[in-house]
Amino acid sequence: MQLGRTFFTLLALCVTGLSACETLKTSRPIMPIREYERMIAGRLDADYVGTDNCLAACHAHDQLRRYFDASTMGAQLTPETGLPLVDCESCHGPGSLAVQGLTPERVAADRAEGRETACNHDTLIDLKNLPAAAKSLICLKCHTANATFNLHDWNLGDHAISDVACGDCHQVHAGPNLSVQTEDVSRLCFSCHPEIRTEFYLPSRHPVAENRVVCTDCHSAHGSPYEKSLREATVKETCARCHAEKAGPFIFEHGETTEDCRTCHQPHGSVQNNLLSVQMPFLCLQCHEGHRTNASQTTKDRFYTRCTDCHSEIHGTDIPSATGGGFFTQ
Amino acid sequence: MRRIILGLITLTLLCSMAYRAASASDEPPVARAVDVPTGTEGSLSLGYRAAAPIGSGRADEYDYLHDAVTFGANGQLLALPHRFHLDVDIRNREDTLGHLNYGFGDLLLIEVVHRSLFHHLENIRLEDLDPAALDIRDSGEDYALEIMIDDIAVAFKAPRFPMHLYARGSRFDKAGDRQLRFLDGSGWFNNTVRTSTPRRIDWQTQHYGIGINSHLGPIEVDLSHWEKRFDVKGSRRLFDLYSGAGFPPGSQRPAGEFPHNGTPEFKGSATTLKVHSNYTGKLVGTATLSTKENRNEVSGAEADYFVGAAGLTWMPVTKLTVFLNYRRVARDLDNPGAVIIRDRTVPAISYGNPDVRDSISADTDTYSATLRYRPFSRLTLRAKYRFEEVTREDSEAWELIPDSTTRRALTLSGDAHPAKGLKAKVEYTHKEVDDPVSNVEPNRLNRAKLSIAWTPMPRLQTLLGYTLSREERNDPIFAATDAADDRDVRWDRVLASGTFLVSDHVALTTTYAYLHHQIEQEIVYTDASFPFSPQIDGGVPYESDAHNYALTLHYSPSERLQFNTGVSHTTSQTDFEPNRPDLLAPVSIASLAGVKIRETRYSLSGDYALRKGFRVGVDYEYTDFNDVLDHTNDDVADGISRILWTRLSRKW
Repeated sequence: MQLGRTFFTLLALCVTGLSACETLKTSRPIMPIREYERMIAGRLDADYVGTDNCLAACHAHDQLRRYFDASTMGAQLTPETGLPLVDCESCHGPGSLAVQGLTPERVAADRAEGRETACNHDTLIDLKNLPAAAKSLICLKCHTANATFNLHDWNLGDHAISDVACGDCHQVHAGPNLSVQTEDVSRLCFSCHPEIRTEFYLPSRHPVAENRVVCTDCHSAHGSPYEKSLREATVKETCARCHAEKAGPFIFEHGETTEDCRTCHQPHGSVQNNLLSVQMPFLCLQCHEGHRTNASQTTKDRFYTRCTDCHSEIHGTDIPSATGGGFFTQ
Repeated sequence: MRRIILGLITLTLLCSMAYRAASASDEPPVARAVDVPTGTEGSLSLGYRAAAPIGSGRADEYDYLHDAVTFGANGQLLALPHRFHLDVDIRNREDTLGHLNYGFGDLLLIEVVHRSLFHHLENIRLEDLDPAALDIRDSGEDYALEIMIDDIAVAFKAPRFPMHLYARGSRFDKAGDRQLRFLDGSGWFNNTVRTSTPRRIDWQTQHYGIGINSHLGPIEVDLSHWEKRFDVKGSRRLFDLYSGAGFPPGSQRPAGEFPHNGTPEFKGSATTLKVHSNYTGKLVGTATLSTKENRNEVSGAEADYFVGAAGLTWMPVTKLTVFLNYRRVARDLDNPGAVIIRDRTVPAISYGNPDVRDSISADTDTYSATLRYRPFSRLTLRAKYRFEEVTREDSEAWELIPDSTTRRALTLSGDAHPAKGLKAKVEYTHKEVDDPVSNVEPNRLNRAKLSIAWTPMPRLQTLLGYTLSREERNDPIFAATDAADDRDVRWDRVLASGTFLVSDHVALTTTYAYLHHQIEQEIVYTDASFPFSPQIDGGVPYESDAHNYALTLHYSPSERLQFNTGVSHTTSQTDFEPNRPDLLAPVSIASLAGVKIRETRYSLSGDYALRKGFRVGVDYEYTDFNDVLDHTNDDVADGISRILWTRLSRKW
């Protein structure tokens, strides 16, 4: 309750403060270092000529233009859409040198001869060969949290550090919806993480191949401050998004083991049932001594098959066992 | 709930304010002709899916294996300012997927994702070498869960106003019957009755959050509040008649009808503040502060978390980038100091624990520094050092858990493109841990990874990956003894894949994967007679292996006709080998726990494009899940699934 009050107090303060901050959201120069500025701005001696000139000069008859017109980015070319204005040169850099000497007449003449008019691509930003960080910056200069709400932690994420760029997952010129659809997520992730895919061939696995659970249910592709780019601060919290019944808190906790579910489970897939990392009873015998036994005893089935047949609340419980202790039998 | 409603009202009001602010702009109307792109495309499909399962549903663990009419839709509409995208896949009443995106200009964005699935569960028969100690109440029961996952995200974005609002929610429903195996009788060694029984569950997990997100020139701020609920609609706890423990003297529980296997409800909330500076700067800073509260609504146990994280990215020159991260997770667990359990009909009969051990609270501080150096465009090198310190409270009551744990890890990695068509990745990690939290955590870890992707010719792509990990744990600790010797662990992972473009119409992909897990450590157990001395079985090996072979063939004789066929075969097994006679006679404990599975899946599909956008498709899938050991009391059972799916679709 206290947190709720704190939140709404902060919210009210933000509303009051920001109502007077409208002027802050004005066009500001970006602040990259010089090398990156050149990379993502292109030829500094070129001028911006506008999308109409780019498209009329070279891309009027392109398949590319049709794709682009159908995309959100294409839609943003016109102010009437209500979307922030983005044009070709926002990403490709100023185009005056690229279209120098090209006229509608020449384009028409070339087209009449079945030829595509070539522009001077070399003067545009060399998007294909930019380092991943520079490619991402082209997007991030607009798609900060202001435009896309899930990019707060981009710089903390493994993708940013490992040279993954936005365009590796999002196809800018294809279709009106640039977000990755649920049914495409896993395929996309496995294209760079094929070794993880092999874990989903194992007998016990999350339904990732069926697209009913996807990688981004647990991991944030846009980065997170947490280990393995998890969506939550701890492994337990991440798992508890779907397995809340096991998260606790309980009166009797399983030591600190349940704080990291990976102590006993392999989250992607496993040979053992229930994604266990090791088959019981060996799983439990790694840390706990086995129950009383000797060579004449025939009750090994009780003590050395599945420990959880008796310790059935192994993730934690509120009910003490027969001796009053927390042995997870009830 | 009140807070959520209040939040939504606030959101709506703020959105209206934002919209008015945007509408009131004095910018002149656009003079030139409006040329707003519009477009519609989509497809619909209708089909019939016939399923013929035999034996265990494990052959298609997440498939509702019943005949059903199927429906699919995919469409996008661009009638600006409306943008609409829809994906629907309904395979049967239990297996559905829907994804909807709607945008109104830059003001409103809505995303809704719905997923449902069916999960087959096994009815595991308890090991019955001593049938008198068993109570099986669920012979012949079939178990399965129906699962629904719904997510919704709504964002109100106000152009020309530096503040945006969003709300998100998710709901996870799980309902059905599953097996509960529990301990009945007295629960002490003199009377253990293992019992299996059906249990109806109906659980719902909900997360709802609202947030405000603002752009303040050089920095951006995001503040959000989340509420979390876990509700139990089915049985919250079961009751059974227990016999009195009677032995040993001082046992707590008398005979009576007591609750067991309770599933409590939980409530939680979280408030998170995120700040980051402009990404296009030379120096980018990010910070996250979050407080979280979780409460067990039945017992009153509480878990509070504080999470603070900060990151700094510094790019002194384009070839070199430094990433500095710090994270603190403070966990404060507070459980009731005493608990009393009462008989269902005679409350005077009770037992409990007047002095419950405190749960372990801990502060975890993690520091990491990563250097990324790109000497030239075809080579990137990285070095990461990570230091983590865990300081625990109340651990003295937990004899096996140390007061603190320190972890240090160094990772060196590199990506290289030495030649056209050749990419290589290498990574080496060395980790040292002082006072690991459990025997499973090693004192030392060394891991090496190598991955090579080579395209020697345009028609051939190959991939080879290998990961080797070695772990050592010094002197594992057990409650009964600390005389156990070191534990060694080895992991191997191999992946080899090749794609051959046999011709312009034929592509063949073959993959082989191998996963190996090996542990060698001492097993500790106690003798069956007083004084129950600890016994040690030295150097017991445990091994788990899995091999997967996959082959897919794509054949497209014409633009209108396509065939795909594939086979995937996975063999996996686990085993361990105790040495002591106590553990080998009259039956080896290893014989009660082995697993050996062969899973083979064949698939064949064809798709033909008719006229006017119509297509017909046929898929056939055959899966054989083979429990090779055929042990009647293990976790798995044989099953076969056959699915034939015919579809007619139209695209326009």
